[in-house]
Amino acid sequence: MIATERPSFREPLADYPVIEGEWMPESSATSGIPEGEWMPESSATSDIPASQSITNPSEQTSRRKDLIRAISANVVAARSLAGASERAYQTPIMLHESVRSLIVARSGSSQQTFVGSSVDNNTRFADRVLIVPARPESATDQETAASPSPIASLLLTERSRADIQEECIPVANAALQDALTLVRRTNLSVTPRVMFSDDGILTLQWHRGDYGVALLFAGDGIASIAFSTPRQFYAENGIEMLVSEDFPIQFTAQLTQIVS
Amino acid sequence: MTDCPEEQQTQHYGRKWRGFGPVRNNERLIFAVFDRTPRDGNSLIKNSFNNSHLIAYEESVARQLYVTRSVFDSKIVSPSIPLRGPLVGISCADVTRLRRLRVDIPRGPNRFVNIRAICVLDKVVAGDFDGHATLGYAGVGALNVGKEQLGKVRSRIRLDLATKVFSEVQHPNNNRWRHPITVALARAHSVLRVLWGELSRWSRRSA
Repeated sequence: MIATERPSFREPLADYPVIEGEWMPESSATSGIPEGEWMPESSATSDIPASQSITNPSEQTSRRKDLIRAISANVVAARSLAGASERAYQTPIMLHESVRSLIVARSGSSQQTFVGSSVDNNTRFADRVLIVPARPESATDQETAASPSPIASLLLTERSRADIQEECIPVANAALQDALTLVRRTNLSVTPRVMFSDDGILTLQWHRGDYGVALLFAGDGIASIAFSTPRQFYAENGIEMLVSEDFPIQFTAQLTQIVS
Repeated sequence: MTDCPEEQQTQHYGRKWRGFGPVRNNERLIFAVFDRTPRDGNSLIKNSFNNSHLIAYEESVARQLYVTRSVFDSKIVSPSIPLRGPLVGISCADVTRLRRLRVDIPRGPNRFVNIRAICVLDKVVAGDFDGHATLGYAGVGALNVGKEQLGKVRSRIRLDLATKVFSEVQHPNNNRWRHPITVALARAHSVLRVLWGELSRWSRRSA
């Protein structure tokens, strides 16, 4: 189901921001990358010369792999840093110049995960997309739930700290479960500001300057998305999505706008 | 229902002969930020504003026109320090912006009602200073909305309060505090305004 078909109570983002760059086609992005090439942090090499013209196909493949390794290592480093942080309210991860944003969208056909990434301006190829190994199709929800996620850790930490009215504790717990389900399933990796209200409502907010996007959970299986732009207020727009659905493109685009 | 009729008349416990009258659109409000006020650096966040206080029209702010620095320190800062920690700074907001804040209330698939989000009242109870005012959700709870949806709507309003309406936290010294004489004159002006209103009403009745 696409975003515009979802039950919404207002058409979102009349003045929708233009996002630079496009998702790289799957066919061109996957060529020459064997599965399991996800590099450990120790093998990071981020100083790859990318301004040279590459004509040899084998050299191109090799360079592509090197670049992806380098960016992958930065992704891993960014995730570990977010996991180690104990701060209650974090700003989006901006560890390295070559990894400006980590937005995850799932490809329906191949179950591969695309991570949008703004790399150096000189880079000739794969300059917007990084492919990371996706969760195997055989993986169960339990396996997914057990996988470490910095945002999941942050959510659990905030829940343990939150001061919630006694009668609203079930709402907060259900909201937490909804958020964990969504975050783990979509591999969302840009660290938000996490806030529990005393009425149990959970808010994940990404905000920079005049632009922002917020996910609100009330434990009813629906995530409400609200946008903030110079001409729009959080309270006057929104999309609703089931936590079992993928993020609408408006959400990922706005998040890219915020962290890039 | 969705507007704020309480804004039209004073909410001072001493009624119209006390205080400065209802909060006017050209005023500016001061929100005191303490060490334990949730925030992100110099920016307010959604949880900087207490949901329960907003429901009860009890989120306290000061009216810049009618508060001196000494009243701010003695009536706002000092009593709050034991509970909320030392003062970190202040955040300001224009009343016009607060009153322009609106919210969409979902009323079914693809339907919503757009109403005022926040009321600004000159609510003063015994023990408060006369330049006190309060914020509250404007009629949001009166609409027939589910509990979950209501919670989300209120959260959105507080997101806007934090990011769109109130300024970044600044040092209190950066504020243009009123001189006690100015505040005294404003108080006299308020009394004269009420007196003039009473005389006008009396003359209309007599005619």
